[in-house]
Amino acid sequence: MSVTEEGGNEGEVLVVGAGIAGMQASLLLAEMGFRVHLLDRAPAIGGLFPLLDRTFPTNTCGVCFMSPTLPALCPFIECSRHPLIELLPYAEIEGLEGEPGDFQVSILHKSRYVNADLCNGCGECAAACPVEVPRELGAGLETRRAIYRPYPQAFPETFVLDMGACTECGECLKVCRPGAIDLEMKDHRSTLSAGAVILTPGFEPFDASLKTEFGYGVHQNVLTGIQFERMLSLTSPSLGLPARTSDGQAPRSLAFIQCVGSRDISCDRGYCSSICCMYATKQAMLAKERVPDLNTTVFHMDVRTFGKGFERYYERAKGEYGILYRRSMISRVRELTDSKNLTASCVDDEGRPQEEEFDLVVLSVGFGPPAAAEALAESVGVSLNEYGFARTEPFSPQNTDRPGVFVAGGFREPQDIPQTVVEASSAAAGAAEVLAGRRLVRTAAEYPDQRDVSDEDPRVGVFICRCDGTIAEVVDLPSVTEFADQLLDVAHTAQLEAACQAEGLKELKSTIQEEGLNRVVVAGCTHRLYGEAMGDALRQAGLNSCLLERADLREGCAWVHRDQPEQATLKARQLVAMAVAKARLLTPSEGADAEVSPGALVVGGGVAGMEAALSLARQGFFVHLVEKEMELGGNLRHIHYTLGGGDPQEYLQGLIDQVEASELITVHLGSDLTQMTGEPGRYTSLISADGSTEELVHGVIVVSVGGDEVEPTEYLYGQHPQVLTQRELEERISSDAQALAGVKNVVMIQCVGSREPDRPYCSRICCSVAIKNALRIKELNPEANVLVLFRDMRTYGFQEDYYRQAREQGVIFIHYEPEAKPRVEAAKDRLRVLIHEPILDADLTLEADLVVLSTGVAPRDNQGLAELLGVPLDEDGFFEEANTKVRPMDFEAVGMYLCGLCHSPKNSEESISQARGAAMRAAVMLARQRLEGQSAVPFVNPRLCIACGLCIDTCPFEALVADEETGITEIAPLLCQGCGACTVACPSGAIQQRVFEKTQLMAMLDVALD
Amino acid sequence: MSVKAVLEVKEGDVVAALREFLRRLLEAKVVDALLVPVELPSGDAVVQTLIKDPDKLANANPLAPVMMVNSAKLVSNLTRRGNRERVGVVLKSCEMRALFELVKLQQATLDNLVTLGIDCLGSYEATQYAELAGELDDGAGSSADQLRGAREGQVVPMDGYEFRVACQICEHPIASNVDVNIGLFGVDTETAILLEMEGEIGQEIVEKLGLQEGDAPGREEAVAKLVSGRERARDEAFARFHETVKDTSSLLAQFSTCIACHNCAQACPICYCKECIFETDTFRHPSDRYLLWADRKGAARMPSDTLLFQLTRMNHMVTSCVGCGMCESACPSDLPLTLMFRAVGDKVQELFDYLPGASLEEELPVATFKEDEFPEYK
Repeated sequence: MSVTEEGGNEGEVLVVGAGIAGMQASLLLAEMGFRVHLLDRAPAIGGLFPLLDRTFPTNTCGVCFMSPTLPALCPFIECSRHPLIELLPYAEIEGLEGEPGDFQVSILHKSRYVNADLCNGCGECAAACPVEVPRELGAGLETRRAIYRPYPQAFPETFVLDMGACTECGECLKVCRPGAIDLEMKDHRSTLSAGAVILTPGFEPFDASLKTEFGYGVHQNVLTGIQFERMLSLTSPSLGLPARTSDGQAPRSLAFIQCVGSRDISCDRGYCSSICCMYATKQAMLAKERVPDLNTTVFHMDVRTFGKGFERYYERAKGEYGILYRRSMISRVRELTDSKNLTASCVDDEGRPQEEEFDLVVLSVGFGPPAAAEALAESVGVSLNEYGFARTEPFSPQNTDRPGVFVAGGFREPQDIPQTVVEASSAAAGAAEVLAGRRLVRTAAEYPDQRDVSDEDPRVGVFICRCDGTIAEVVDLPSVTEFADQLLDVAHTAQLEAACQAEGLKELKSTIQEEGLNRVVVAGCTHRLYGEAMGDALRQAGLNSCLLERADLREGCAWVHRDQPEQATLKARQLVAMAVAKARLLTPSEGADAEVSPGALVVGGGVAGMEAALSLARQGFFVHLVEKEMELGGNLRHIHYTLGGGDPQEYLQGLIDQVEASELITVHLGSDLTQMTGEPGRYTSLISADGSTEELVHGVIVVSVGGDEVEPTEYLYGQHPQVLTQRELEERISSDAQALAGVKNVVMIQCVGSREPDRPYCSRICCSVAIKNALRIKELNPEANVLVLFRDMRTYGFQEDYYRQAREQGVIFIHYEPEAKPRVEAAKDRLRVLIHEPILDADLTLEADLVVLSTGVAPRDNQGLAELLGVPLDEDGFFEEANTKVRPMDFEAVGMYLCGLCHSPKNSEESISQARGAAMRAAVMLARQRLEGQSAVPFVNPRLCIACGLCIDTCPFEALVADEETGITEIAPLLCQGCGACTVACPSGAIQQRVFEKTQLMAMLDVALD
Repeated sequence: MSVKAVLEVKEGDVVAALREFLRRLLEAKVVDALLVPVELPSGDAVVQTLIKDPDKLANANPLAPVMMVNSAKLVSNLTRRGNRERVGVVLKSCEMRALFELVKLQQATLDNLVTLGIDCLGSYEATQYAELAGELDDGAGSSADQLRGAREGQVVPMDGYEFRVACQICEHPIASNVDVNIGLFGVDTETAILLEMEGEIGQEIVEKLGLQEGDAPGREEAVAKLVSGRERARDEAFARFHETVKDTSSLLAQFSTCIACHNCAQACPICYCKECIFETDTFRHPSDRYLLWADRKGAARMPSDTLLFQLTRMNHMVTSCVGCGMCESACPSDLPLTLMFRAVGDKVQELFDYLPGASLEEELPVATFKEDEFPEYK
């Protein structure tokens, strides 16, 4: 990509913390055309993510789908090679001066004692270093040397010397061939300018040794969840197998103890860490997969699996994996002297104390603010909340109290990856709004006319890259070069020192021209790297970039066969021969391109739709906001107070005023989207209102059509006037000051219409809504008794404080199991609730003046809209995003986004984050202005195509359609991502892919079998 | 809604009763045309014939124990571009299952089609049939012995002859998912034939033809007996096959006499490409390539690409293979294609939990993406 400046006032953003949130925000902003400085205290980017081998609820990694434009590599690689992202590892902020749009940042760069320009990442230094210290990754499950790389795939690749551990013995200096180690290297300082700052320093696992009763650090077979996570990674010392520290044996019984350092005021952790129930469940499942006869018990207070798809995951863990969840907190863990087994003290179902023995105990540690949170807050000038996390105001979840400084991810509140991706995108939107109009605009590079090579005999040039010696020191490159010279149609061979560097690329270009080459083979690193730069060199030399073929002599050859140089050389020859055989047959191909239509269509004018529209407008894009009803506001019109303070109606009115005042937003009330045609980035929609129809052209669409409160069908709802939903209660309290007069007993029933067979998901918000209303009742009528009948109280995050507050104020919580649901009976105007109390083992009869049902969130009837847009619904009827983990705001179809309740149940702040995040993602698409299809597009031979449709069924991107008359497959080149699945499905070779044509592949195979 | 009826058989002549039934279907306009096997005047072969004139049914013989072609392919011709008239087609189980696969591959439709399944008593190779046709009781018909055997669930070939390998190991002798099934197993065909009918069309046939409702109580038992015998034969055949095909080289040896005539692809009901890629330029190599291959190892077998052809065909077809064995019948080199495809097919189909031809709802494995598939290979 080449960039030019627009007005010379380029927007820069500082992102502090390079975990999932930081990488996500950086990639979005850089794709928008802002210059990003991505800083981290650690020597490598990635945050806590490198710890995770598998993530819930998919039990895969899948982080590669995170990048805003696909296909993409792992975000670590994307961040490290994006031309607009500058990595600032091992650095800290010392001060922030200035105003939004114009900050100056002082930065301390800690000394690595290794010169990044010289270090080639070979690792000889670490092999020579005699000092071993606990490795940070995995919380000391393994050791590392004093000079080290945090993990093998770390970016940057430069090693770092831990001076605190170093004995200055000098062994590393002796073996470092480039002479990169410099023990005299000093910290240094610099300043940079940034228009906005995003704080994403993450969170820090709780130090389990503070909870001495569990014996962590004392008993060998007690691990933390962090250590166990590392152990389950396939790259761990046990290769992913659970193992006891004492004897290395696989455990037969395993206990997880939840809430270690969470929901515990005794260690100043009053809040819920939100993710431990899920990570423990994931670990329990993985452990069970690897040790099939393992018995696992999870000891918990409540199982909080409240995210999208999480309840099913939990059910799977119980049903399919046989993991036992016990509602019992462990008071103490003891070690047995001989076996080193552990006994956990708990209470049984009847409340009697009990000891249970386990081979291994995992403490599901919670998460606190990052270690340097206070220093960071001070140097940036933002405030922290009582627990040390970033403070934000109601309804602006990404705004710190310093304008222009945004926060996302674990530093705001402990949270999972989907929420982190949402918040990071939302924070990026904040920064992009501050910097609106200061984007760098991409321009197409100028190239000479392409030479027509169709009538020329192949003249293949083979360029063999030494990769600064990393290939040359294993593979005998002179012999490979000599060999290549003898291959059919090879007209020229050359060795380059580094084909990816400016000098190498220049030589590539000039040799093509001087030697009249018409096909090029570069044999060096993997084709996944530097393809763009090399293709660019071909185009500068007047060749189509698809006339390039790569042979991987580095990752797949020199590096993996380091110890067998002769075999590696043989393989290198073979790889070059294959590449040449294919290159001879390459033909030119161009990706399609098209202009993105400006502007967005937002469907649904609730909070999510309005926030999305406003963010887009503030970033300079025009928006059509379509709302079915005659007024804006959606569900929030019925919310009158919130747990976190703030007046929702005041906020809503402000939002509506801003939408109406915005010159870039056109509101269509009482309107429906009735048709949409076109392709990603170029849509035409019909909006109908009251019989009239308007045609709109837009580049992107954001779906925010909301959800509904479930209408209860049980507990006498609709039959007795004193049986209400929580929303009805809230309306009643808010509109009538006397609503609670004479009310003595209020019984709330949780999970009404959620976590039930026909609605098997958790509605996420009902627990906190019940707490909110319980507290309000206590406030208005302190004499009233409030009883909450619950299955699991899921007041995640800081909402836990209010749950505790409710208990302190005398709200009574009674647990029930779905097998023994409460019953509501009416005797004249009196209501009675019957429930079995498990601890007392008694049937209780509760007199109730009001029975309040905590109903779940149901999707609207989304079928029609889903079909109209060609997007899927999930099994519950909510819209289904592209990837639950890392793309929670995108549809699979490019240019379509979703947010709010139509995606899954969530509270208003989460809707706001997701809406602003969706707006940011849509803005990235609009900012691209031009869409470029990839060049390895498929093509159809109509003579061979028999219209069976297998390719169409197989295409994951909906890039193929059948011709209406002939049934023959047609290709939408802008949708095609070049995966090649269609060519595999086609039995007759009727659909093939440029650059991977069958004759080309056959030629490679032919040579490979030589 | 299903209905069972009986068709009267006079003087033990089952074929005559079937001709009469088919004739009445045409005359009563239940169907506008019928695709049915018809005996040639020479008496030593039958061909599938599309009949509109009831008089042309005089030599029709759905019982002839021979399969010159898998009719699913013909039904594809009749229906692929839409089928305006109502056509009845008489199909054996393997033909019906192949038809379902073709429907899923969008190469046939069931619109306006009346499928008439017939219990399959097994078929001989065409050459064998030509020899023995004269020996059969009723000219080109099935022998009385076989029909009697069918009643007991045990069909044995004529002395000195063998059924095709596919039939010997076929555990699906009864066509499923058909509109009408002509039942012979467990039925006293001296006096009657069982008709099992589904849906509105069944009702229509009963009314228009004035059929008697009825049943054959011994049918279930006879079928179970037949199927268990076949399963035994299948497992034994697989075992013998695995004994000979143990490793790559013995597998390759099985294909070594392939002459690249591609008859198997022609005969296969499901191998549906307009033009096989092995007939295209992709496999018409430049002349010097053959010499290069010969040079490389000192010798190169001609014609080339035979193994690649066989493995590619297997790769493309094996999930949908219904085991009709037409490939082997068509092979001039007598390659053991039936066992090859059945043995591999059973394994692959089990992997994808897919039974070809069983249901239109079951999606083709190649067109299905499952995130959690094959966790053992993760």
